[in-house]
Amino acid sequence: MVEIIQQLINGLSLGSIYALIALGYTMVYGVLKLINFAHGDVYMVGAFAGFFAATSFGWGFFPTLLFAMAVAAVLGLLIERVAYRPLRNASRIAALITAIGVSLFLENLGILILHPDPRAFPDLIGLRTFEIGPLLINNRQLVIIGTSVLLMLLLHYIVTRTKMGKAMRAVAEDGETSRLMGINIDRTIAFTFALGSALAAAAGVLVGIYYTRIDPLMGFMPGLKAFVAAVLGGIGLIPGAMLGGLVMGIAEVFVVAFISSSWKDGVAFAILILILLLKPSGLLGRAAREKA
Amino acid sequence: MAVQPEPPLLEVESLTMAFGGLVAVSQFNLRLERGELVALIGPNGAGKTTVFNCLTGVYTPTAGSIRLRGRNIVGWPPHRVARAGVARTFQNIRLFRDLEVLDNVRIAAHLRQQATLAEAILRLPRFRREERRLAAEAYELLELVGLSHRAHQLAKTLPYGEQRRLEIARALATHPVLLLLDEPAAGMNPQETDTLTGLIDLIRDRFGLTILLIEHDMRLVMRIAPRILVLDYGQTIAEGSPEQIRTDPRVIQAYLGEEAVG
Amino acid sequence: MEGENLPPASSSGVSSASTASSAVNASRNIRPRLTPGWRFGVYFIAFAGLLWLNVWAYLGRFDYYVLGIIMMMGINTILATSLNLINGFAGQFAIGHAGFMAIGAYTAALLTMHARVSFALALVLGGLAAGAVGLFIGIPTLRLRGDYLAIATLGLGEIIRVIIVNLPITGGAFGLSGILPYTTFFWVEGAVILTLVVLSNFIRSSHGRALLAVREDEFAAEAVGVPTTYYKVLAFVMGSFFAGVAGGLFAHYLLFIDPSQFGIIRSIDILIMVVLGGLGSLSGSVVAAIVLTALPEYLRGFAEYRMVAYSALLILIMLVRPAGLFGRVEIWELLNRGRPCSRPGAGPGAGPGPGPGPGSTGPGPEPRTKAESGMKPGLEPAGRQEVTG
Repeated sequence: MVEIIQQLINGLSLGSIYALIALGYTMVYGVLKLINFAHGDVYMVGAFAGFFAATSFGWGFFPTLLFAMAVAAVLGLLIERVAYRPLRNASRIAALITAIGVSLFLENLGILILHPDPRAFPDLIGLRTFEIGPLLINNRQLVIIGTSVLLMLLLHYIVTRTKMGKAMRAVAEDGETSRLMGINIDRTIAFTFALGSALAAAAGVLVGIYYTRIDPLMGFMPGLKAFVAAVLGGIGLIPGAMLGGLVMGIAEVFVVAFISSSWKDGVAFAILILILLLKPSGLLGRAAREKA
Repeated sequence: MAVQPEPPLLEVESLTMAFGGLVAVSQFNLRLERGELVALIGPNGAGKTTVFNCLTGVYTPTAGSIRLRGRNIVGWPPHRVARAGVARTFQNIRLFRDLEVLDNVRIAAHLRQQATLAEAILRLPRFRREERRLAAEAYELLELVGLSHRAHQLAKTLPYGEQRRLEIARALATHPVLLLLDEPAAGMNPQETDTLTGLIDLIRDRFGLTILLIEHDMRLVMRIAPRILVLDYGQTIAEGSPEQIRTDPRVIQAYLGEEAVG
Repeated sequence: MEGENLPPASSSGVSSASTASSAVNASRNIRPRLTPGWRFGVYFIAFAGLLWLNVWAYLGRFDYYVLGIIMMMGINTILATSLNLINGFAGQFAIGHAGFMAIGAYTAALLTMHARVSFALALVLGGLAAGAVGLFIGIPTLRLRGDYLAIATLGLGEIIRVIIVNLPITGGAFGLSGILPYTTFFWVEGAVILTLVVLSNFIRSSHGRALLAVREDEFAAEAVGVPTTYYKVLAFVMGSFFAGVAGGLFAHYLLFIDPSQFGIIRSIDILIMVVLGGLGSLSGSVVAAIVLTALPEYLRGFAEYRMVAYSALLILIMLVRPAGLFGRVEIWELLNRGRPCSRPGAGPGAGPGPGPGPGSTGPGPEPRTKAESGMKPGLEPAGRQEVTG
C-alpha cells in the first residue's frame, strides 16, 4: 500500500510533464486538426535552451525556465510560419509528412550541432528529500508538480478569460465561422503554436532537472507518449490533456515498479490501442459526431 | 392498417435529428411511392440537407424510422445505404477531383462488381469481362449526361455545370432506386438549369427513378415537382402541389421572414 | 463546415465555373512525349539491362559488394511500393514500415533456423505475420477519420522493439545471428516482380479505383457505396504483408539482424523514397528506391548530413509539390502517350523518361485509353483557387 502511494507520487511528477507536452499537441490539433509531430522536438529544444541559460549565463531556475519558454515560443512560431501555414489547404497527408520532416530536421540538426551524447543538466535545485512517514518525496518533484499546476492555471486563465484564448476556442470549434466573425485565424494559430511550444519547453526544463540528463533525441518518446495522453484524455480538449498526461505518467511508473522497466515504453502503445478500440473520443470526449 | 403487398419505396416516420441542444429536424414524415418526384424546399438552415444526411446514413437520427422498401435502414453506414439503392449528389459538389471523369463513374459502378480481388490481381477472364462491361456502362452514362467527350479529363477541370452533371452520372452508376439531389441547379445559369431540367426528366423516364430534390430555384421546382414539402426550422410547415404551396400563408411567412433577416 | 445550406447561387460556383471554363479553352495537352524511336530505345535499354543483370548474376560475375547493393535495391523497391500503396494510393499516412519489416524478418529467420521451413514458405509466413499485425492495428485506427494511423504506426515501431528485446527467442538487443544465406539475386528479383504485378494489377482494377476514391474524398466514396474502412484496412494489410516479405529477404541476405536495424530511420528512408518517387506513382517508387539505395553508397563521406538533408528535402518537396516530386504519373504514361498529367505543376520538371533501371515495371501498354482529347490542366496550382466556399 505504501509502495502504491509512493509510486503514485512519482507518477504524478512524470505525469505532469507529459501533461504539459500533451497540452501543446491538443491545442494545435484543436485549431489545425494536425498532429504536430515536431512538438516533442520543441520540448527538446526547450530543454537545451534551458541548459545553455543555466550553464552559460549561470541563471537560476526561474530565469532559465522563462528563457527556455521564450526560445521555444519563437521556434513554434517559426515552424508554423515556414512549414505549416503554406500547407493549410493542401492534403492532410502532405501536412503530416511535413510535420514528420520538421521533427526529423530538428532531431538531426540537434545531433549534428549538439552531438548525440547526453549532457548533464545543471543542478538548479539542490536535491533534498523529505520523509513523510514511510513515504519519500523530494523537492524536485514538488517543484515539477508545483510549476505544472501553476502553468496550467495560467493557461486556463488565458484560454477562458483573454480575447486571444477565446479566439482559440472559437477557431477550434469552427474555423470558417470564426473567420466570418472577424477572428484573425493566422494570428490565432500562431499564438496557439507559441503557447503550446512554451509549455513544452517548460516540460523540457523540468525533465532536465528531474532526470539530470538531456540529449537531442530526448523528444521522440515523450512526444509520442504525450500525444497518446492527449488522445487518451480526448484530443482537442485541454482538461483532457491534463488528465491523460497524469494517467499516462502514473501508468508508466506503475509498470516499471510492478512489472519490468523493459516494458516501460510499451505502455503508451497498449493504452493507445485500447482507447481507440473502446472510446476513441477519449476519457473526457463526447461521442464524436462525424462532420459532413 | 392492413399490411400492403408492396410497401412504399421510402417511408420516413417522425424523424428527429438533434445536435446537442440544437434540433435540426423534428418529427419529419415522408412517404414516397415508386416513381414519384418530390421537392423539399425551405429557407437556409431549415434542415433539408440534414434530412438527406439522415436518409443516406451520414447521421444516425436521434429518433424516428426510415424504411426503404420496407426495411429499416436507420443505423446503416452510408455505403450500405448506397448499396441498398439510395444515391445522392452533394450541395457543394464532391467529385473525385483528381481522377478522370470516366473513373468517377466507374468507381460508383464498383458496388456491382462480382470479380474478387484475387481475380483482379490474376486478371482472370471474369475480371476482364467485367472491366469491359463497367467501362461500357460508364461511357453510356456519360453519353446520357453529355460528357462522353470529357471521359479522360480530370474531373476538376470540368466547368461547373458539367461537374454537376457528372455528379448525377456518378449517382446513376450505383443503379439507385431513390435519387437524392441536393440543390442540383445551385450556381447554374438559366440555360444550364434548362439542360438540367431536361436531364432530370430524362433519367426519371429512363430508369423509373424516384427522386427527392432539394432546390432553391423555384422555377425549376414548380416545373418538375408535382408534390412539394416545405421545411422551416426543422419542422414541416406545408405539403402539397405547387399551386397549394405558392399560396400557403405559412410558406410565404417563412420566406418573407427570411428575407427580412437576410 | 456543417454542410447546411449555402446561399442558393453561391458566388463560389460562379467563380470556379469561369476559371474552369477558361482552362477548357486553353490549349490541348502539350506534355512532353517521347517519339516512337526514343520509346523503343528506352524499352530496349531496360530490357537489355535486365537481361544483362540476370546473366551476370547467374554467372556470379558481380562482386559481393555490388551484388549486395543490387539486392538492397530490390528489397527497398518492395518496401517503397508497398508503402506507396498505403500512403500514395489509399491516402492514409503510415510511417512505421520498418516495424512490419522487422516482424517479417524475425518470423522468417526464426522459421528457417529452428523449424526448417522452406525459404519461400518462411517469406510468406513472415509476410502473413506482418499482415496480421497490420490488421490488428488497422481495424481500430482506420475506422476513425483522422491521423491516428500515423501515431499508431510510429508507436508500433517502438513496441516491436520492446517486444523483440524482451522475447527469449529473438536474441534480444544483441541481435539474432546465424541466419541462413538463402536470399539470392533471383529470389529478390522474383519477389520484386511478384510485388509489382500484384500491386499494379490491384491498382488498375475496380478495387484499386475504390482505393483512389477513398484518397480523393472518403465521404463521397461512401456515398457511392465504397466501404471505405474495408479498403483502408485492405491497403494497409497488403502493404504490411509486402513489408514483411521484404523483411524476410533482408534477414536472409544480411544474416544478422537486431532491433536497431528496424528503427525510425529506416522507416523514414522508405518514406522519402515514396515521397520522392511520387505519392501514387508505382514506377516512381521503383526509380526512387533504386536511386536512393545507390546514392548513400556514393556519398559515404556525408553520412552524418544525410538525415538532415532528407528531412529538409521532405519539407521542401511537400511545400513545393505536395503529391511528391514526380507526382502521380507512371513512367509508362510518359512513354506511351501524352495523357493529361494528373498533377498541375512545373511542366518541364515532370520527370525525364529514360530512368536506367525500371525494366521490371513495364507490364506492357495499359489497356486504358487513347486520350488525345486530353487537355492541359492549367499550369498554375489549380487546386488552390477554389478556397472561396
